[in-house]
Amino acid sequence: MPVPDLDLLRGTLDLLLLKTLSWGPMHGLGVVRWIEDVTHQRLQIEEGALYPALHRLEERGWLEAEWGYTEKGRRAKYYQLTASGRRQVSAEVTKWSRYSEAVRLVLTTEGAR
Amino acid sequence: MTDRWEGLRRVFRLPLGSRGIQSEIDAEIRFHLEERVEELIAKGLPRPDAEREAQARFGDLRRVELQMERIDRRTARHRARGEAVLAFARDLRFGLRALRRHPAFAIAAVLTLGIGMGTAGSIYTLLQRVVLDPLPYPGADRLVRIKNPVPGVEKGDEWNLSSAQFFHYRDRVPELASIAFYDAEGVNVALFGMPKRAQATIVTASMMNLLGARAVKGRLLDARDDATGAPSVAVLSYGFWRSAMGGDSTVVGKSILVDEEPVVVIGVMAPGIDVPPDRGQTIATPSDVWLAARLSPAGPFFNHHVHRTIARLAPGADLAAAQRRIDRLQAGLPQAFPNAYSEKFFEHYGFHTVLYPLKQYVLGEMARNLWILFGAVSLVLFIAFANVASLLLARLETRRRELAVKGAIGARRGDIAREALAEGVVLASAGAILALLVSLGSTRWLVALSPPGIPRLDAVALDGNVLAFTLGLALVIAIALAVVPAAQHGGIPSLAALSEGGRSGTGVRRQRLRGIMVVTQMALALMLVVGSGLLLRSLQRLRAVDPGIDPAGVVTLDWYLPYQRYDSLTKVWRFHDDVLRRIRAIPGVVAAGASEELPFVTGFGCTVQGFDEEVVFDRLKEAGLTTCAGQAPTTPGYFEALRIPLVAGRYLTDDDNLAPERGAVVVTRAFARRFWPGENPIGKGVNPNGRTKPPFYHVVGVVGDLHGTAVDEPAVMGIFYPIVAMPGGGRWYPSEMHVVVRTSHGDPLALVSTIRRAVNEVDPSIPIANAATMQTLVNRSMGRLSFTLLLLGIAGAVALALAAIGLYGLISYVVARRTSEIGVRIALGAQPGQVERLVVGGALRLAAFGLLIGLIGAAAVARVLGGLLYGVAPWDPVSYLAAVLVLGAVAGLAGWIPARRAARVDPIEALREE
Repeated sequence: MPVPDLDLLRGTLDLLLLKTLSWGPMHGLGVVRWIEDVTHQRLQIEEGALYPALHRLEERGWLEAEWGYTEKGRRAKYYQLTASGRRQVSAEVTKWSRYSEAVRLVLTTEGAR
Repeated sequence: MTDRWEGLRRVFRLPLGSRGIQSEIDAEIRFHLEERVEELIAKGLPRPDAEREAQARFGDLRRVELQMERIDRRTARHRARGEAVLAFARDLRFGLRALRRHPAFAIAAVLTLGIGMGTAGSIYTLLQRVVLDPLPYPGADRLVRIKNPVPGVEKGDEWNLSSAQFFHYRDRVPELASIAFYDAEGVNVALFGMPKRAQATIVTASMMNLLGARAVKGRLLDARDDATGAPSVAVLSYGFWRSAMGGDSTVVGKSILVDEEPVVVIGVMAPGIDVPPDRGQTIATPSDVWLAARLSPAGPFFNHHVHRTIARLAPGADLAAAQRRIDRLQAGLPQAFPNAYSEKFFEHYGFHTVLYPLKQYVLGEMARNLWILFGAVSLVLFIAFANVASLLLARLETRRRELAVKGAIGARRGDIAREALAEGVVLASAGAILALLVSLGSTRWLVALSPPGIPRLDAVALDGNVLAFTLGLALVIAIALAVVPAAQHGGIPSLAALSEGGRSGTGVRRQRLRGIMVVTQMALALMLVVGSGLLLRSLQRLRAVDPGIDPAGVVTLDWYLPYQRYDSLTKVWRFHDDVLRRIRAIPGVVAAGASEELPFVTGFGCTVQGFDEEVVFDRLKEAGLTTCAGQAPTTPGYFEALRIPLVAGRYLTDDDNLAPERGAVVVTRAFARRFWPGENPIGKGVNPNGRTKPPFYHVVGVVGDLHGTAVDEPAVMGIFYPIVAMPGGGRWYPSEMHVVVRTSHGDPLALVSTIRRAVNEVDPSIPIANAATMQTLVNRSMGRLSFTLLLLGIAGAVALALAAIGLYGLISYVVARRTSEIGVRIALGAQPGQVERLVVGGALRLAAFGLLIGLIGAAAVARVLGGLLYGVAPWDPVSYLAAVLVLGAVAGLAGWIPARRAARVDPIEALREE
């Protein structure tokens, strides 16, 4: 796949992370695994971009992080949505829907000659 | 998954140090990698390959870590700031809530602090601007004034410089880089036909430089304008240019008439520059027109000492060296100027020359007065602070139970200390806000109330310094208020200790501290009240001094007749006669007259008189006194208008001017006593201006004593000559004449326009100026003194109020503590009176002890006040007794009210408190 515009990609990544975490707190790897599962491996999150994105979302106050223990007893950093994060998710989802609807229109409308 | 979350304690804190941040990032990534590695191993990869694969998926690990670090550091900073703000806000809310539960205490504390800090702030502003700031001239700390003390005339009397001295010193004192002088006088200015009265300041050219003057139009005076015979030029002051000439931009080069003489305007001075005000000036008049002195170094020179000097010390020279040089040069004066100076003159008058730092001279006593004020206000502030601290301590006591409970459930000392600090901060902040308001109001009030002539008071306004001072003070007080209880506290009381009823050792220590505070407060308050009492009595004495005139219902103004058109005294007389007749015809006018001198305003000066009896001179020489007196050409009606009482003989009449060969003069009682002690002065011979040749004038009347500028000065030796001089006798020319008009009803000022019309009818080119009621001028002359006294009186009153509040608070607290004991006593049959005495007894004993110490302090305060007192001894028993009684009564009342409440205590309630 050709590498898309970085800014667009980052925005999309944020949306995916936020939406995933809206189902409950997870650690970073957990988020990646869930997305890979749900999309049947079609969407691979670039791991080098994952953690900076999570930390940025935390800085902006949409996520908050806590250290916890996994089922195996390992220490891991868990992220969960804050109240403002929850509001942000619906805003972002709405934005994405509008965007994808617009793209669909371009792709499906017959053009002028 | 959710169970786990509920079980986890929320103790997440982002580590502050960068090392902490790094280790967390490290741990997070390591976890991720480990998991991935295990996944890959589970898929069958050998470990080293798995690790490589996992790492590769991350990409540039180091760069990612750095990114995360940067982000986390930013987050940490924001968090810390947010947390601090939240914590502070939380503490403030606690503090507010705690204070709201005890509104009386909070209000008392805030008021106390606010008033104390506020008055301290405004006095400090005053001090800063008037005393501490340098004069508004460049290099002001190297400017000096030259004066000539003449102890032979009057102790403490100092004359200005003569022109002879000016020229003599100018080139011969290398320690003084430049010397300049100025004279100020009222002049008639005619701008395009309209006559106006203006204040002319006549200067030597070097003065422009010394004042740091700049021109906004044209140029300033310089050496060529100052040369003898140079064309007459003038520089206008900015204010005068705007008000009298409407800011006419073409003013440079225009010609105006100054006292009938054409003068070319060469420039306009920048605003805000003027000569310093003179000590003891009742009215401070700003300069309107600057003229060149144009003195000739060839003379003629007289023994006239009128020039006010400003000189600058040369770089590297100091005052002492310049003083020494001048002392040496003085001996050369008689040789250089034989007309003006003689050896005998120096001996007889004790004449010598002294240099003063200009600022010190201009400030005069004001500096000392303001420092005294500042000291007083600081004492008040200290009392206020002691009050509030004491109250806080008391409150902490009553909360011991609450604190013990808090401690039992895990509150740390730090938390409690922070709460105390929060309370202190809230109190101090509220106090600071109130203080700023008080400062603003009282500074404006001080400036409005204060008399003119206090240097640079008009420049005083609330500014950054005061804000900084008040806020700094508030901060210090806040911290102290928090620290004192915290330090005293020594630890959270345990519940066990509480149940013992609280007579532990620490309780005794705290009692002692509060006892010390009460004693200190009472002592300080007594000192302040005694001080105020002494000063208030001084003020009383001052006001009771007979002013020598009856100022009510009198309006005064002045005019000046230019000698070009009034070139004979007869013409001068005719003008005055015509105008005064018209003024006397105005309905309501009872009397009107004019003289060159005016009590409380002009000072009367010192002009040598001549006497026909040798014995007068002999007597004076023996006593080491001079023959100079306050000489004033005067019209009839003057004494009557001011209601100056006639002691003997008669007042001056019209005939004395129509038939001047009669040579009639009127003298004041002090004049008669000085020159003809024990004799009848009527008929004695005297001449003006030191003339000792006949014909002589003769005394026809003696009037009551008058004051030159202020009531606390010795009475003036005044001699009033008619306007028209005796033919063949001495010559003079009256300069500015002060007119006094008495009206029988209504506002005297309402007459001014009618008077102006009367003057216009006789000579439309003569302007009148400085119209004011005599009462205003008398008040102003008293103003400087009473200003200080008033402020100190207020400080004393405030101290009294604060001491009362403090004592009341203490005794209320004591009562609260001993409620249970009181309940027991009442249950056992004690009478209310007994209870009251018991409760109040201890506290009053403390108060009495404080008063005793205060008496000693008060004696010291009286010593410091020394020179300010008038007619009152520093150990004036009335003031001390009154102060002790007042404070004692206040203490008694402050103690009795809570005691009475205690006696009404329901014993069952009281016991239940335990």
